[in-house]
Amino acid sequence: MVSILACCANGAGTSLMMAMTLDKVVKEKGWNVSKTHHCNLEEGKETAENYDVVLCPQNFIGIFDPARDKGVKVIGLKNVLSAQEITEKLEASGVPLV
Amino acid sequence: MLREFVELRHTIFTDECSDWQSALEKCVEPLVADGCVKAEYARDIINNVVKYGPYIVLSPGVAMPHAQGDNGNVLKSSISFMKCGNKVFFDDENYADLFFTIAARDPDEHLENMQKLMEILQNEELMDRLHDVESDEDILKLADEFDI
Repeated sequence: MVSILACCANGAGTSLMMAMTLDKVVKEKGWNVSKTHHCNLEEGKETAENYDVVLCPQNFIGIFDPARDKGVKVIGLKNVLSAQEITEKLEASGVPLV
Repeated sequence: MLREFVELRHTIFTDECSDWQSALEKCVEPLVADGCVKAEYARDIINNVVKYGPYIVLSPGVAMPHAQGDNGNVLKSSISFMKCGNKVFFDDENYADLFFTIAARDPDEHLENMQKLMEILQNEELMDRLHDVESDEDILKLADEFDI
């Protein structure tokens, strides 16, 4: 069971878009995702280590280096509306989705 | 939802924006006119881009300008649509000619707005056609055609 956090600057815009795209993909693929949440960067920095995966816009990935060092998969998205990009990157991340 | 943009008069069409800052100032105009946001909201959005980079560009050609809604500059959860005649570049890679400006006041209303917006944004064919609209009539035609 995989938990995924979507983060962006405000926590109510881009991260919500990412979370919605993600939910759609998870449903379509039938992935084993136990929890998804979206939030802003401040909250994300604190809570990222509690998740298996963090999704964020490409230019924010450096912010999650501490979480990455603890084993969290940090995935930067160029196109937050793209179900294809989210699918490909999550599948390539190595987390046990099925 | 597309129809709502026109019905609420939350649309704006501009031939050309010389730079991204003026594009962001322009895209909030319908919401300011309607009392949904204060004029300062444009400044909030611009400051966000200065601070965080152009993360508001969701995908090539499409931006979703927004900022925190809790500083008093957002009076009502709302969305507006702007079509710019030229591609507005935020940096070498990120550009937009479609701007869906979001203002969030009430979390439930905001979520509902975002879900409706997602329906539009995830419809690739509709998005392609939106890049060609020039007027409210064009939008209404698409609203009818795509039933959205």
